[in-house]
Amino acid sequence: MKRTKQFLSSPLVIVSGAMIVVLVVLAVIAPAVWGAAANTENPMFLLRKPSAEHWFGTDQLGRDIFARTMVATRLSLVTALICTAVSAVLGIVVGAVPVVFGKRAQRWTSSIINVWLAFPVILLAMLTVIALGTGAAATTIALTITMTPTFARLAQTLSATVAGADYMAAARMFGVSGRRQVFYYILPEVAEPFVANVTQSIGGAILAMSSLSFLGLGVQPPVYDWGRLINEGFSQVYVSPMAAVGPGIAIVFAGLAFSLFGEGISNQIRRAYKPLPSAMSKRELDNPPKMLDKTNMDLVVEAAAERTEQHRAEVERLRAEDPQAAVVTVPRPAPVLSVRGLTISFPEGKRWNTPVKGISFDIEAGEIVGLVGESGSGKSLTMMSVADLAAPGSYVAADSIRFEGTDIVGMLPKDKRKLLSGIGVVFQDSLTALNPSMRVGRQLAEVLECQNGTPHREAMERAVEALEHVGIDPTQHAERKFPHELSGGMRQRAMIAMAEINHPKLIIADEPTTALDVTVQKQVLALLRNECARNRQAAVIVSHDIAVLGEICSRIMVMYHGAIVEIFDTALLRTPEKLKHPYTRALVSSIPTLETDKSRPLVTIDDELVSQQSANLADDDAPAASAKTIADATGAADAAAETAAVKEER
Amino acid sequence: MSNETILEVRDACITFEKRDSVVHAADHISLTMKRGAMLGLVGESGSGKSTLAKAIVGMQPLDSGQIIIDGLSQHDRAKLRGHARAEIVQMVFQDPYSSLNPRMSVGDAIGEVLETYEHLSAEELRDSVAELLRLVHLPAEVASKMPDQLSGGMRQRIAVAKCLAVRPKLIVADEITSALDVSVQAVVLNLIRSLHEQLGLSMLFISHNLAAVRYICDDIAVMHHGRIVEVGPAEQIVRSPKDPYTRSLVGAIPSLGDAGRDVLLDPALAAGAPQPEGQR
Repeated sequence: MKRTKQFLSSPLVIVSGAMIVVLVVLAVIAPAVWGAAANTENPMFLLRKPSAEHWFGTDQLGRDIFARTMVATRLSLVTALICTAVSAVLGIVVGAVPVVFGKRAQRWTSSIINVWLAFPVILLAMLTVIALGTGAAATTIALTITMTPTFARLAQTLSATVAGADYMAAARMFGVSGRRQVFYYILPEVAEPFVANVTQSIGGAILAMSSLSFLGLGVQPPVYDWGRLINEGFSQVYVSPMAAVGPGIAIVFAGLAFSLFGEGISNQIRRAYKPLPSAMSKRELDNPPKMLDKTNMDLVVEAAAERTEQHRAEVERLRAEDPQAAVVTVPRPAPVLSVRGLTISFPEGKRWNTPVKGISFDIEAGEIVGLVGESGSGKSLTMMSVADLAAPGSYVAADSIRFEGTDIVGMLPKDKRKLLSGIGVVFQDSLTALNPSMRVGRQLAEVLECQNGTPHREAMERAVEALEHVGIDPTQHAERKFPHELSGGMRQRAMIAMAEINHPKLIIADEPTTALDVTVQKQVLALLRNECARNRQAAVIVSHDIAVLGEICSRIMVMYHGAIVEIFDTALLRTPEKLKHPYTRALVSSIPTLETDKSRPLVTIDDELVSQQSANLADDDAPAASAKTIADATGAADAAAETAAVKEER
Repeated sequence: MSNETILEVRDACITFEKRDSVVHAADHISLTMKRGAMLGLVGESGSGKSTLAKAIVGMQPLDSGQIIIDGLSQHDRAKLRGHARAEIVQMVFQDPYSSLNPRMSVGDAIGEVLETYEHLSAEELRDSVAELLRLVHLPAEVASKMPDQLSGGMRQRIAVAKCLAVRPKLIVADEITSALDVSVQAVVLNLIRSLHEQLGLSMLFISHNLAAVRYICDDIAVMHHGRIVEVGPAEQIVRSPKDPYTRSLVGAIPSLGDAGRDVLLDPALAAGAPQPEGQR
């Protein structure tokens, strides 16, 4: 077991573990070794100060206080362990087991725990002691009663995840026995953090037990524990401080031992859920992979040529319409975003994991482009990195990322932020993307205040205006509401308003309608489409649903295993057999539509088949662009654009 | 009730009280389903379809009305225990990441269900698990895997295998493909279809995706605001919907036939205006 080994090698665990071993050994052997010295009254040595013979001095009956402290280990430890163990078990029974009996049982026990927790701990302990009488047994019971609700609450919180999980509901429905539910479902979920907490609590229990004894409520003479010893030594604290300090040291030692051991366990749990730290050197981390040799420049050049062709056709058409016109101007849009060889990697131990493998693409001003791919294909990573919202821990490398002609690779963060305020982002989940504790209008206005330094009042006015633009009825006063007070569709509209408010040149929308119902989805997509047309913006819509992209986009880029494998004109979706890449074809025909033939199975995507067929495809074409040809190819794409620009004017 | 009917919902009502209003999650719902049929239940979020699903499997009490499965009302079923109760109706859940115990291997999870009603030797258990995995088109080696080693689509197929282990008379599938990628959705839909053909399962297939429901179901019921607004053969619902809500639902489905036509460039549509009739 690697985890056990890791756990046992932590210095915290070694030290505290050794301390616990010392305590346990003392508890076992102390009465035999020091029992005689501890109980022999010696009238010759009353109230002596510490000496070589009596390390902690002697008490008023001449008994050796050091020996008594050692002997008291057993009672102090045993009572603390008993009350912690009993209250932990009771806590599990009250807190976690009701999960098996369903919601009503959970509600009942929850109220019981609430009331129980409301009593002040010391008061409850004292009342119990008064009711049961003083003595070791009574104090143990009192402590158990005060510790149980804390453990019960912890067990309840920890088991809440299981209680709400579908697999628990399923187990109940399958008729899995209650005993099995407890031992195979609930306890494993509760165990680790619970054990850590219980271990830490032993230290607290020793302290609490000692406090009660010190106050005279705990064990009564002739029996003694550490607390009782402090109580007895307290009268001579000014003459012989060690009489009280000695047992105090024992309490601190034991308390620390268990607290630190518990801490060691929780550290281990925390570590188990944390990803491995990178094992790479700084130099290696400064040079993440670039994968320029694998980039899809051929597709970008092809797409640019296609666009040029379309543009030329448009010029021809206008000219044919009006042969008298002296000049026909159809501005050939320049790319608003131009990405070359974007590679995103995560360090994993000694190796790089590269989910985005050197992709290149252009987004022209005013066009809406779709980026389609499955979860894990790297599509969201790509667009978020372009907007400088790269995932934490990721390393982004690129030949160039040009936004409106300016390369942001290697730019200072301050300048980058300023330039990228020209990109508006629409996130998938509006509920988490909007600040839940801030009114919607305030959040929109904040964008203007931060980006342009617009005065507050004016920013608020524009926020209200922006909300009206996205079709939210002004009489609803959405600006005064909190995000959770709006419906999902309304929230997504507000989110679009927020992205649009500073008139960005480019909108990036990451699965903007995935969380919405189909009828609302259509409205939100239409809103996005119309807003882009009104503000002459370009947009990239990231989605896993190619049918949705087909409605809103003019071009679609297909991402598969971190690479762009095809860029095509959306109209091609009407004739899927003309699509080039086998993955795109499979993707299109795997979606059931209202016309799908019910008698045949749906097409599924077979990774092996796709890679085989795409290998054939690559053989047919020229070999993929190498790193060296990237610059040339980029030049070719730009040149194609330029020729069109020259040709359009007579 | 004839032996041909597996599920009959009679005038079922479920209401939830919110702070200042009452939500009718099920508003006098009546529905019948034949044995061995695939019935689709379509509706959007908040339509009450998931609440109805929970009521059918007994996770949600009814305010009034009856849900009769295989001749037993909800009260009759509540009296049964263990496998006798489990084999009447089972459910496949929406979220593949929450429907398997993360601390139990696939083999143990399926074996556990088998052991609720039969005593099997280790070898028989292994064979039965392998057989169930084969039914959902997974290799027997998957049995030794833990859920976190599996993709969403595989997890969902294992959830189906667990259901099949009970040999239930009715399976309720609640949005089982909505958390999956489209290409994985196709795998699961194909599986459900082939299982229906092989085993003659009776299944209530609940989804917001009308196209998916049309593809695998014979009949479709459309739910809106806690009511069933339309029931009929799948083709009829899709081709000539009668209810206005069904019509807007059909109209909202993106169609590949419209790809590249820029159909959305229409301010009226963005404002949330109703769809022109007959638009597909």
